[in-house]
Amino acid sequence: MPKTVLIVDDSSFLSKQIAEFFTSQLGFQVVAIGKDGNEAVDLYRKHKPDLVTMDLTMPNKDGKTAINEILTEFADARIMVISAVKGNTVLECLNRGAKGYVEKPLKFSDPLFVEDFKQSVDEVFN
Amino acid sequence: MAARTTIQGKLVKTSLMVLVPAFVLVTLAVVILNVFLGGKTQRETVMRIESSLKAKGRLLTANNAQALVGMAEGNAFMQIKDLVASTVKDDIDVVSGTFIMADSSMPWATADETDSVRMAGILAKAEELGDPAIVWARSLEAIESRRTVGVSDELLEFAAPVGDPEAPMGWILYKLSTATMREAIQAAKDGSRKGTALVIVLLVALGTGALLISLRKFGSEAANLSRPIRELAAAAEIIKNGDYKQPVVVHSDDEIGELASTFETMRQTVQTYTEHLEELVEAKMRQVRDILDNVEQGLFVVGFDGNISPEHSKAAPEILGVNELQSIRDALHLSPSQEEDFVGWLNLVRSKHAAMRWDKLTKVAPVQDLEIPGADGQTRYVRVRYQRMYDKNRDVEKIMVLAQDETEARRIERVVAEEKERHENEVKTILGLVNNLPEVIKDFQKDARKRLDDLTDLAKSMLDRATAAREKFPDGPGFKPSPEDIGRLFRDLHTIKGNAGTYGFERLGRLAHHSEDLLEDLKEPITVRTTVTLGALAERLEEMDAAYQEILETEKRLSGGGGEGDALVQISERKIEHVRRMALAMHSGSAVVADSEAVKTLAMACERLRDVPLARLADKYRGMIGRLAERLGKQIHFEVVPTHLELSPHFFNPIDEALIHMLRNSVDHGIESPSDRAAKGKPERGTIRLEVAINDDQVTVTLSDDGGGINVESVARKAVENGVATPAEIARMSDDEKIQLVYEAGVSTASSVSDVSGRGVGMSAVKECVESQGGTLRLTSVPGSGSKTIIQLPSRFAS
Repeated sequence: MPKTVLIVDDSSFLSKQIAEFFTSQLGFQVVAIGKDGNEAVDLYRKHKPDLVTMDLTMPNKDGKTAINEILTEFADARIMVISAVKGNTVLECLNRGAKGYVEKPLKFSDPLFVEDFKQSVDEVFN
Repeated sequence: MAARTTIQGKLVKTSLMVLVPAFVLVTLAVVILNVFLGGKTQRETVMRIESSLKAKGRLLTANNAQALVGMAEGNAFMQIKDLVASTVKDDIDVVSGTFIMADSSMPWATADETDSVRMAGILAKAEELGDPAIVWARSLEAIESRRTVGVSDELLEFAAPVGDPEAPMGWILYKLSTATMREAIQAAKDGSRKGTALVIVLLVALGTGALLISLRKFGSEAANLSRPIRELAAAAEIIKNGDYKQPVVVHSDDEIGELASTFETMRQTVQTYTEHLEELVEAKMRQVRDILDNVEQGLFVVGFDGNISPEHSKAAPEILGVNELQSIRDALHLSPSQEEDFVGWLNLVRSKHAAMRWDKLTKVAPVQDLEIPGADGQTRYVRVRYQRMYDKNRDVEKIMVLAQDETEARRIERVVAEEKERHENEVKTILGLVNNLPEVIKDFQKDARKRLDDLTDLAKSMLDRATAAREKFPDGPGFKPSPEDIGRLFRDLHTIKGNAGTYGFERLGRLAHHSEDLLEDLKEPITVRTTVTLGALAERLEEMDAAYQEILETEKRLSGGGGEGDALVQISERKIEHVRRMALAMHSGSAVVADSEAVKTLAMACERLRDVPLARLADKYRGMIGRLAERLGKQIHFEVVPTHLELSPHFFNPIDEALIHMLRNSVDHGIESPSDRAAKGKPERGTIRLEVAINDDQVTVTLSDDGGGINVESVARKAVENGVATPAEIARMSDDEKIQLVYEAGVSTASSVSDVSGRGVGMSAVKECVESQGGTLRLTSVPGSGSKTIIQLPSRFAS
């Protein structure tokens, strides 16, 4: 049975790219795509996916808050941050329990970026 | 520490457990023997005392009976009385004595110590003496004795006949008290008991004394025995505490002494090893210190607790701009919140170093670069990197922080970048100058000059007004530039930017762009002092002026003013044509000419003289695209390939109309607005490319753009609407065939009609134009990525 992933990003353009990558390159099943932190928490409750990719800057509820809420409710949740945010927010998310991060921009045509993305996903599951 | 029993204590305890029961047993044995033997001796003593009393009584009575024979015969009663009385009196044991005459009428003599009247002896009548012993005595024929109980005492009674036992004259009777005898027995008994007690007391005293002495002796012996052990233990304690230098000295000639000497040997071995190890460690430490003292990087080690290890490279404090590396806060110039972040990062590293790649972990470290104000006012740039330090179990134990001063590297980098930018700018400027018609450049220069002057004047007057307002009302509301003035500034800058970009004058364009950014600070709400902004703007305008002057200078150099390379001369096409015709006439007419091939070549060379580079030829299109793009608010880069391909100045003339149409279409409908492009992830500036390729048999002109491409379905729908094709025909067509429908009259590629294009008549005219020249054209499109038109023309086009 393929692993399941929930993708959260306020840009549907990027969500689609990420979803495509997970499906074709990593053999995941994309169970849902969320557009903000509220949807992230609701969709996690509904699908309990093996992995969540979380954007940080999003309307209504930001990624950091969503991560905190998901982990409060589901301590074992595997969350990987995908963000262009610089500074300490990523560090704070990791310390809160996010298991990895990937930096934007998403250069899926760059083999180095793809390798880093794959390894980051592996690390989340280790 | 639990109370420990000493060896001395153990010895004393053991000896007591042996000695005390032994002593008790001996004492018991002595007492038991004493009691048994004492009882036997006592019984013998009693019998001896009794028999001696009996013997005495018998002897006394027998003697008296003998003595009394004469006296009785003579009736010497007084004598008898005296004898009896003296016998009673002399012998303490004799209580009373009576002489009984056979003839009862005769007086009897009696003496009795217990009776005061009869004490000295009396003579009395037989009947006066009612003594039952008398009856017993009178019956006797020989001496007899018996035991009777007296008034207060047990008595021994002795009686014997006096004279012939057949016909005795009387009987003598003595009563002896046993009191003396019993006293003697009692005394003997008492003596025996006292003896026993004495023996016991003596034994106990002796035993206790012996015990005490032996205890004392044992104690001191045990102490002697355990002292070397204590010394050995003390020596071991010293070694345990890490001091291998104190020799183990124990004075003992027994096994402990042997043990101590082994111990001392062991200590010496350990000391040797330890000293050797210390030397090794010291040597290694010296090497490490040498490295740390000579390494040019700032290098120190921080633990997960945030504490810095004392070892660090000599350069570290200097690079980090601190006197001492005492805390991570000082070392990395952290604010309290940054310090908190850093501790958070250390915690992350501690928990995640096995699960995450190190470069991912170090990327989220709160400190990556430091800007340290130097003593000379120069900011130093320090790059901070992190490395893992492992313990012996290959676990990350500490983190090595590497600080590298990159100020010099950055300075060089900046200088190189500036140089590179200057060169690139120059190359682009030259290309701009070369690729555009001189008239166009002149127009641009005139326009830019005017706008720069206007901008400088306006900015200066605004600055003057702002300064005046500030001097007048230092704390007042200040000068607010009018929206009209800002609008003027903005328009002029924008135009300069757009034009400069079109012709490739990058530096000027970029400076104009920066100036535009500055204008944002003049808009409400104003957060930066207006005078500061306007001052900066004035400076920027000066830079723009300089950039403008650079363009002029470059142009001068290119046109021969600089004197390098080929000097450019302008020859009218007519004069070239004249030379060519002359050459051709020589070739065809006269036989004088020896080498007709050379003449032919000369004619061709003349023809080529008028050729111009493709870039120059495409200038008119570049200008058109630039103006159109500016009007539509689009950014477009017009690319010509290959730039230096030499072509006839009339090369494009036959298809000029078609090219203008297609280029307009690309600008208007192909290339998207910058914001749309950004949203799609494309560069904001679109590209239109004109490519010419000349082969032996044909000429290919390719026009492509990276715009939105053509919506095939929309084209097909329009074709049906305008009766160009039936739905049935459309259904049979491939996408490629459908796209070609744009060349049919009445079909437009655009969904909206603008004043530029889109009325659906253009493309059919394009097709007509190309086909009239004997050429073909083919349109391809990738939705989202752009479209491409390939025009193929006969080879004569190249000549």
